[in-house]
Parts: sequence; C-alpha cells; structure tokens
Amino acid sequence: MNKSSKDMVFFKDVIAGYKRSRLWKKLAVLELKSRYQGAVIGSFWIVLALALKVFMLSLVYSMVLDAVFEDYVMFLALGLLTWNFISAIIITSGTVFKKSANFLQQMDLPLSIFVYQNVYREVLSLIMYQLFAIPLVIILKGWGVISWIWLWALLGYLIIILNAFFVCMWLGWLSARFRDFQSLLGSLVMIVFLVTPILWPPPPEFAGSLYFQLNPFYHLLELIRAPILHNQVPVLSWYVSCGVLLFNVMVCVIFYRTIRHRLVLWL
Amino acid sequence: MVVDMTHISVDNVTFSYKYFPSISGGLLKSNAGLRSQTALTQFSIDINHGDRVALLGTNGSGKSTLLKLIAGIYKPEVGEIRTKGTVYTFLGRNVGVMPQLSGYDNLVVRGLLLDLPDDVIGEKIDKIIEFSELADDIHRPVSTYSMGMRARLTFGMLMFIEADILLIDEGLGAGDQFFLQKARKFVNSLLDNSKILIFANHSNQLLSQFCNKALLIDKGNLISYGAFDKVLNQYNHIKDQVKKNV
Repeated sequence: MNKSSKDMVFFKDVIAGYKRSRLWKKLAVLELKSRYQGAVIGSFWIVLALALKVFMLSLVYSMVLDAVFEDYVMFLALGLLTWNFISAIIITSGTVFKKSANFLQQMDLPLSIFVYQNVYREVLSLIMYQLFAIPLVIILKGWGVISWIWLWALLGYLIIILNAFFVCMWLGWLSARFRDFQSLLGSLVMIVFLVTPILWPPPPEFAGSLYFQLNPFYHLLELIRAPILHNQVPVLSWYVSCGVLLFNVMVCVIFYRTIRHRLVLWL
Repeated sequence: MVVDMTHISVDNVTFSYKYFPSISGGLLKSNAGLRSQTALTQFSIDINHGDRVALLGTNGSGKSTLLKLIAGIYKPEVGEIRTKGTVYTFLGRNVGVMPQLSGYDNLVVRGLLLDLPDDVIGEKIDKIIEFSELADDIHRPVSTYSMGMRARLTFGMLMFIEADILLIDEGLGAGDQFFLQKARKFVNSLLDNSKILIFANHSNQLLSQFCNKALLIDKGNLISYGAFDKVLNQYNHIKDQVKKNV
C-alpha cells in the first residue's frame, strides 16, 4: 500500500460508517428516547431546559450587564444553543467509544459508526433547539427581521457539525487511550464557557482583541450570531472555522492507522 | 483441496494484551507500569468447511482471544489470519444486548448491526418471537426479563445468521430442557456442510450436541485438535490434573 492510499484508509472508514446510517440513526434515537424514559413530556425536555436556562439567565444578566432585555435574550439564546451543541459533543466524545465497547469487541465495525451516532443525536437536539429559537426571534423582532443573510448561519451550522464529527473522532481516541482526558474534558468545557463570549457580549473596545480572536469557539459562535443578530457575514470567523476543520481532519488522517486496531484493546 | 469453500487459516499468530496492573493511576507517564500478557504464542491451525469445532481450555487459556482474532476485531502482532466466507460473531455474555431497551429494539439493533435489509429484519424478528416464545414480553425492557427469558432472546438472535463462519463465545445459556431441544434442531438446520462453527462454552452438553471436532488450548498454545470425544477426554484429563495439584 502506498502512502496516499494509506492516508485514504481513514476516509474509507468514514464512508463505510456513513453507509451504515440505518444503524447509527436507530442507536441515536433509542439513546435519546431512553434518556427521557418515564418523563411525562419526554424528549421535549431538551427544548424546555434550554428555554428555562435562557429565561432565567436573561433576567439576571440583562440587569447585571445593563443590556436591553430583548437584544440580550436573542444574543444569549443563539449563543447558548450553539454552545450546548458544541459542549455536548466535546463531553460525550470522552465516552463515545467506551460506550460502544460492547459492539466493537464483538464485530469488526467502522469506528465512524459511533461518531455518526454521537453527532446525529446532538444534531437532533440542535434541531429541537430551533423550535425555541426561531419563534423567539420572530416574537421579539417580527417577520421583517428575516434576511437572506441568515442562510450563512445555516452554512455555519454545517461547518460546526463537520468540525464536531472530526473532533469527536480524535477526542474519542485520545480519551480511550488516556483516561485523564475524560475528566479533563468536563473541566475544560466549563472554563471555555466562562471565557468565551456566550453570557456576555465582547465589549466593543476589545472586540478586536487577540483574547477573542484567538479563541476558536468565539468564531464558531459568530458563524451563527453575526448573520442573525447583525446581518453580517463573519469572514474572519469563516476562515478560522475552516482552518480548525482542516486541522481536525488532518489529526484524524494522521493517527487513524495507528489507532484502528489498538482502540478495541483500550476499551 | 479447499479453494472456494469456507476456510479459516491461522498462521503462526502471536498476540498479547497490554494492561495496567490493578488501579495504577496518577502516574506522570501514561504508559508507566504498562504490562504485557501474551495470550497466544505462535499459534497455527487450519479449519475447513463442515468443521463444527468446540473450543476447549481453562479460563484465560486464550479461547476468546482466538475468536476475536479470527473475527478481525484484534490484529495479530505476528503472523497472519485468512478467512474465506462471511463471519458472524456472537461473543461475550451480553452479546450487545442493551438492558434498558425492549427485546424488540434489541433485535432491530442486532439486525442493523448485521446490515440486513429492513424487510428481512422484520421477517426474522417475527420468527424469533415465535421461536423464543417471548410473545408480548418482547416489548418489555430486557432489564425486566428473567435469566431464562434472556437466554431465549440471545439464542433467538442466532436466527439472524447469514454467514459462513459462526463464532460463538459463552453467552448462550442453556435455558430450559425443552428450549434446548428446540435450539438444537434449529442450529442443526442452520449449519449445513458448507459452514464452520467455532463454539466456546463451559457446558459439555451443549458442545457435544453441536460439535464434531474440538480444539484444546492451554496458556495460549495449541495442545490438540481433532475428533470431539478424543480431545474432550484430553481436556478432562488436564482439568483433573489441575484439581489434583490444587
């Protein structure tokens, strides 16, 4: 096998995993259902939990930050629902393969099946979040606020989901090999949440500061917030997000061959 | 001469597990204290179509490792494994059964794992419900099943088989006697001469019903391979020796 075909082995796994979509979709839906098994309103809790969080935080932070309530609610809701997706992906990456050990130790399956399952489950949640976010924006700003630029936000979600797939893959490997990462990821997510402009908008005088510009999570959030809140296409954030995607893909391609047959021994 | 027939060839395979002793944690180097345990040493064997092989050996002898290597789950450190024919695995006591899900959902997932078309899965599930006699209980979470019901469900999962090489490791409880008779009939009808069965189980009764050959492993080495009764006697002799030494 020459070098380029060796590098392609990772993409073969990704394609083989995609072809098993009936399996990973079913596993993701069953996982979501079992999470809310016995709850009266079932998986609608996904939407309700977000709505409660946004409402309570908006009450307090619009006061603390001396912001206009309506503007702040929109800023917070868009940031928080996107962050919920990103943080859920990062945290669940720690257990994505461990959780699937039962299958991986029984059959020779493409690793990507379980990454698709993880990402698909969170995408379903993300779609449910929109049941809250879209009516919220229309109620607060009216129909007139809708613009073609919002399609950039849709593309933004696409690149966030692509990033989620590859990050979930290599963080999953890393956490299976080094158990410390499972614990680290939870703490890391909390720290990133506090230092990234999610609860608070970046102060205008520091908007160009390296503190924000070097934070990839800030750019990922801007892919959604800038088109909807400011009718702008965040060009720099698009460059950064594509760069991050390239990095994530490269990490997966480089390490896949080393990981492939060892991963099952680490579970 | 085996050309197009189902075949397994294990050629000079060595495999070892890497593990951390006990709960060694908090070490600065992640692989500090990492130990290695050889599971199979220079292992070679050829298994041909029509062979129904009982895998014999004491706990930790390397039976499960051999099955996982043949299934392609593990990759040999040294040597090569070649299989001709599609492989179906049924490994471990839980065999992918998720207790929080209903028996029905578990069957659907099993069918999807094997990548069977939806209509085939539907047909097979109907047959499995009839075979396992679980009736309406199939829609209850598996966590509420009795041991016997679980055994029926896991045995029923065998009905999904559409493979030439069947690898079964533990997992299959005998269930009640009536069910065992039923299961035997089914497995016999399933395994025609073109298929290979490798079956590891602690029940000699189950093994003798399904197998015509036996393979004895001890400490990762092949001790004997041949007619079932002959190798079973050898295995019983080894077990007696171990008991005497204890």
